[in-house]
Amino acid sequence: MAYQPSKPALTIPQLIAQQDILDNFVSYQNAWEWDHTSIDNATHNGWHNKVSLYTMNNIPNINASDIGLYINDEGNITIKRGNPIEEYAIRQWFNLALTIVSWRTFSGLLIKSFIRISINTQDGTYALPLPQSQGIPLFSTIYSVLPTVLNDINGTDSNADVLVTGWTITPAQETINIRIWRRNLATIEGTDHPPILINLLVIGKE
Amino acid sequence: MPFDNTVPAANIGLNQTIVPMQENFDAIQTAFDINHGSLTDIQGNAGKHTKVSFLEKAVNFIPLFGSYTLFGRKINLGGTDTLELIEIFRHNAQNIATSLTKAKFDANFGWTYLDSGFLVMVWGDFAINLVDQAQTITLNQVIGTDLPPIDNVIYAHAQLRSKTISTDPVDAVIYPRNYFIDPITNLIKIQITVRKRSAYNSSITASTLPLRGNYLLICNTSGGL
Repeated sequence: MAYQPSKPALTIPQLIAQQDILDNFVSYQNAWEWDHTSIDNATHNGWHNKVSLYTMNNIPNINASDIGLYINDEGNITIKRGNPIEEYAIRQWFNLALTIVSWRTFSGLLIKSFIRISINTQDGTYALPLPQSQGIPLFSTIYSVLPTVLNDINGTDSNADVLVTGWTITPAQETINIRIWRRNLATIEGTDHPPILINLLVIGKE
Repeated sequence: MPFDNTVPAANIGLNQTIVPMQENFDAIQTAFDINHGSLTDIQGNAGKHTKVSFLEKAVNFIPLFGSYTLFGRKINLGGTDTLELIEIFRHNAQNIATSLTKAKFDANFGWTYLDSGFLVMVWGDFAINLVDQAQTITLNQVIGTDLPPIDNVIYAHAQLRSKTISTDPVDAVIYPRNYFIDPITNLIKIQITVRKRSAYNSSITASTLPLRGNYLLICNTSGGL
């Protein structure tokens, strides 16, 4: 039976109204116990044992003086403050075609990994593709770019290494330009053998 | 009408107490429908949360021993970042609160907790006044004041940073060697060696110094906000 706050009705005799009252109590108890310990639990009555959130098609209203936690229709776990309205979503994105995996933390820190580029010449400035497709957010600020040599395509230089020493970014751009120096671990600054593939871990803010 | 737990009173007939009983059922529904699928929902969502709202608390909420809790708090970080940030703290039995949203972001320095718990990421700029020499850079942010409490630095990364690649190429490299917390000053220090690249020596002159460096730290903290 669904909960019926209008029961018991004014004109219903007492014996019939008692069943309505019982039905309401049962409905209330069933609803209450979705995420709570049993309403008759002796030691933890009223405690949550979990919090289940179903996806909201519309952003729920959060009162001005409240902080709210919900799941939006994109599957983001989102924290929202009512006034001023601010939202902090956490999500992970994949773009396997571009070998990019991104994470966004609640605080807004953005981490993109496995950004794979080929270095065909020695030193230079390279553009990293950071597309907004599939909802991957863009950087507004970058704090670090950490490179790792994935492999030496020619297979002849086990000492191949790179250093990233700078970057430029414009908010809302879908690329960032990074300055890469090739080096050789055996000779520190010796000659190198392009091309190589490198992976980049980029840490910044959305 | 607010909920009245004295209704129905003993020895009062149903015909006399039926109105306040209805008002109590209304009060139950009103309270329950906040944050939940309505009690009258017949689609199976009755009792499920739509959202979880927290009143903003001025201080940390301390739960009973042996329990965890989420609660909302806002903190003004001050300085250039004056936003009053949303905070969702979780609290454990050791009475340690960790924040899921707390962070400081500005042009030259920032930090954040990670959602998983007590790790803190820190980033910032530093100046380089010498090249081809080992040197120790001291990060100016005081642990426990500018930064959250930090037990130790787990990982450090330092690199030269050029904000305008096209007009200001950086022709040196940094080799981080060690990093530690100075126990007297409570400052983080990173030992680095800055080396010129032989092919690009010409741009490393007195007129181009100081260079700017950029660091990224991953630290461990036991919390204690």
